[in-house]
Amino acid sequence: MEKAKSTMIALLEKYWRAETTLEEEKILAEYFREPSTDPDLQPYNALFAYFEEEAGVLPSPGLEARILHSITPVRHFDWGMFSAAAAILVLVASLFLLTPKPAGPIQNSTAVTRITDTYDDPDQALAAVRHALLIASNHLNEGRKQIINK
Amino acid sequence: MSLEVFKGRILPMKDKLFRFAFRLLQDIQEAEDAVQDVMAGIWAKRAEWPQWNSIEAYCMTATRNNCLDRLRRRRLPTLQQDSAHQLSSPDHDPHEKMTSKELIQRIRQCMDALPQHQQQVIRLREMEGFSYNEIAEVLDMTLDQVKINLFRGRNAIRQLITKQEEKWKKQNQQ
Repeated sequence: MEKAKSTMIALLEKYWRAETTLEEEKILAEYFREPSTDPDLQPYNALFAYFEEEAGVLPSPGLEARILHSITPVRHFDWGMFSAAAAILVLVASLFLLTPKPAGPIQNSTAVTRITDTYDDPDQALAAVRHALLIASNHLNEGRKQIINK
Repeated sequence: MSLEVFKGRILPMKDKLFRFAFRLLQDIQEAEDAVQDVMAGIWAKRAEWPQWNSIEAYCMTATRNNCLDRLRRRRLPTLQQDSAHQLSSPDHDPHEKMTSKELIQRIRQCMDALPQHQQQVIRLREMEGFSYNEIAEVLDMTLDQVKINLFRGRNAIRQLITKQEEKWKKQNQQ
């Protein structure tokens, strides 16, 4: 006990002169943390208790999350880019819908309708076509006369 | 990879940095803001990490500089060299018995009244376990200056404890 006391007094003297190593300071801290400190040295308990108390001061629990959030920023929705993309889409769709389509082979449903022969005899077919054309020609001539007379 | 290093080596230092910042700024929220600023700055410089001798010393130095900038903006008055000794003989009731808790409170007042350099050296040494060389690097001092500041700071506290002890003994004898 006395030996421990004299060792601690010697270490304390070294400590006040700022000559102790970190290891020696740990020994002092451990000694003064014990409640069984020699009564002559007890006032120094408060010093090491103070250091221990101060070393236990901690930030709020949310600090770590705040730090991580600040170094890995969340990507926010870019309304500018979204608007630009939407405008381009509308433009392309408008061009597609409003541009007149080039004339091509008729591909609507009437063209697809299967045409079946009306006549088996080609001569009969030719006579029917001539007759149809004659009727159409007569109608055209009538229409022409009406226009000229006006 | 950098994020893993950050989480494993740098982020755990936040408590030390906070204590250091808090003692300088005396404001919890501002100290946390300072630590956050420092951490974000260190992350931004992740390409330079391999060139740094001691990440811990760098973090502490950055924290100190950040806090000093904040203090300059606040224009707080700096503590005077001798104010610690004024606190060592408080005008208290002579019959008041000094308890350990009260002595801790006196030591805290004495520490807070020490010049900034002495306070910082003591805190880095006693509370964060820094070597003399690390303290010199963080506080931009020579090794001798570190030891002188530590010597003076510790002796101001020793004087306080000795005076209180003497008072205590006298009270017990009466």
